[in-house]
Amino acid sequence: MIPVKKYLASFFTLLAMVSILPTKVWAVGAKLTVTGDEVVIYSGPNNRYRPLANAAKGESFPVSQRRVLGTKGGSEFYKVLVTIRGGDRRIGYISADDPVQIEGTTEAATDDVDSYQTIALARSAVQFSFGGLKDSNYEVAIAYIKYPAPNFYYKYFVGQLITPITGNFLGGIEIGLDHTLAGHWSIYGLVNTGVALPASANAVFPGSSSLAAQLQSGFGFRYSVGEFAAVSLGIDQATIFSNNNSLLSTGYLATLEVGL
Amino acid sequence: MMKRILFVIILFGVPVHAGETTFESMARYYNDSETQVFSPHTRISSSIMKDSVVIGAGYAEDVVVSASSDVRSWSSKGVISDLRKEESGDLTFNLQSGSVTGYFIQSDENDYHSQTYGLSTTRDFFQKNTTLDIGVGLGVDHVGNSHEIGFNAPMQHQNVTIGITQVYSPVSIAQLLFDFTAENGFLSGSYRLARLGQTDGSVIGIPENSPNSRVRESLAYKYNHFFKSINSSLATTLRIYYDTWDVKSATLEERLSHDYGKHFSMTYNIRYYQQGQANFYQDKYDPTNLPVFFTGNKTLSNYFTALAGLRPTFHFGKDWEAYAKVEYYIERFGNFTDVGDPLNPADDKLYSINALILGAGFSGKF
Repeated sequence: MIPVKKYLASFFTLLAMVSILPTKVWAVGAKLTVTGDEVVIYSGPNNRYRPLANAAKGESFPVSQRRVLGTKGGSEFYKVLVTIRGGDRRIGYISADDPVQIEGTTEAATDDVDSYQTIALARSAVQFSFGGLKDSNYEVAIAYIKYPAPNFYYKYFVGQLITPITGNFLGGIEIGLDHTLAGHWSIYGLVNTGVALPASANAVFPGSSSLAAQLQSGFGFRYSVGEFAAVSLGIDQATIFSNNNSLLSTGYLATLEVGL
Repeated sequence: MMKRILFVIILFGVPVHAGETTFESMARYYNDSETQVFSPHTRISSSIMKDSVVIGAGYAEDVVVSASSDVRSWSSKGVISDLRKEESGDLTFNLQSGSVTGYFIQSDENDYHSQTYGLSTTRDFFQKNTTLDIGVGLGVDHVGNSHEIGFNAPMQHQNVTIGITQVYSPVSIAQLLFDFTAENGFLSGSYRLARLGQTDGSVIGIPENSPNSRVRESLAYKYNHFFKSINSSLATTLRIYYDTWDVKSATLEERLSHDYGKHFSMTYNIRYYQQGQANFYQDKYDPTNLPVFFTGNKTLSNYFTALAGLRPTFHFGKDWEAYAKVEYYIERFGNFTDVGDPLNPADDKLYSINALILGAGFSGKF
């Protein structure tokens, strides 16, 4: 008698193991080596794109033999393959004007680099945010956000803190770290601070006057669709305070970024 | 169950490679003749998955026996004892050029329960010469009172830290650290009494009433430098603090470490702290002119503290060390008095503390 169950179990186990074998054969033929001081690797072929990583002198990357003409009239860029910690690989661009050296000429490596998709991310964007806090308090804001360095951004924002009673002005600055995880996904942490201008006395918390300070912080995940947009969802905690009292609250924060 | 987990790990090839494990255990003993505190502490952390994940856990206790002026004057027995237990856990993911950490701390004592949740992230810039830290914490506390069954006063706090660490050279490093904490809820002591001065000089106590909101901000600058010529390092910390109760303080700390050969080092440290009082603090309140807020908390008065200590360390094995700690600590209050006998004004004098702190511990990696 054929041990059907045993056979099927073995078959599917083998199938599962085969499915997790590497599907790409890694050919290291052509490589780019940084010969000068630290260079910036951009997520797209122009320095107007978001910096993806910094490469120190001596670091090497698989490179495509085909140079890419920079968008928007920029200079030429080398297309390299950057390995993110954890094994994820992404396409990055290094300016041909930077101090780098190319070695090797195999087309196999070029084809392999070219087989990865570019996720060009905007260096600056307009961000719309919506947050829900406890006790039916909500926040809406519009912001200008800029990524001057890999994984780091700052932004200026103005918006409204909407309580069950009234809307109140919010404005300030924010800094954040945005770590690439895999593919389009990243994880962020942020801190922002600024002023809150309650529309009337006691509008935000008992004792709130016409001027208060606010400090918010949060963590969450961001999905970057590409150059033109990104969305995020995370947890948020907010402190709005004056000298005599404060409102401490927690909730969620959702954002939509549109690249500039 | 374990077999199932192992099966999944083998089947999907999750690379759970145990990496380095760090272990630390220490105990500290504080004695100012009125209060004794014994504080053992243990922490272990281990990296797994090719060092991309670090898991940590800790346990600490504070065993307190006190007959301080706060307790002696107003409690029925004149002495209290308490036990605080703290469990903590953390998980760090090392990313491309930084990390993300989540942590949880649970602290329980007879009449106080606290849970703190936190997330933090770091990012290295400029070939790891500059590091930016952002930390976020949320705490939910419940204050009890062993004299009043059912007393449960909530207190919430939010904390944000931003730090920038800069390596100046192979022998010098500096850090700028901003800390923001907002507290909201029951911020009084559930036993502590404010003192009302009577016309005959005697003192009576009433439960204190503190504001239910306090926002604290501090800025610290730390600078470490290693002097090759004398094989020593000097660490300087300067911290300034301000809160919405108008408490202002400054701390200066110096720590000098010297290596006496390969296996023995000694650290000498001194610390000075000076504080100004909260805007509603009075040592004794006038019962005919009692303000909205009144407190008996001596840490809201004018005072300074000073500490001097030694920490001999013995280094052994590849990454192990055992150490001891001896510190002498003083507190001098400018306007908080030891009431002593509340009915006898003659024994009322400014409060002070002289304490001896002893500690021992060991830590290492394997």
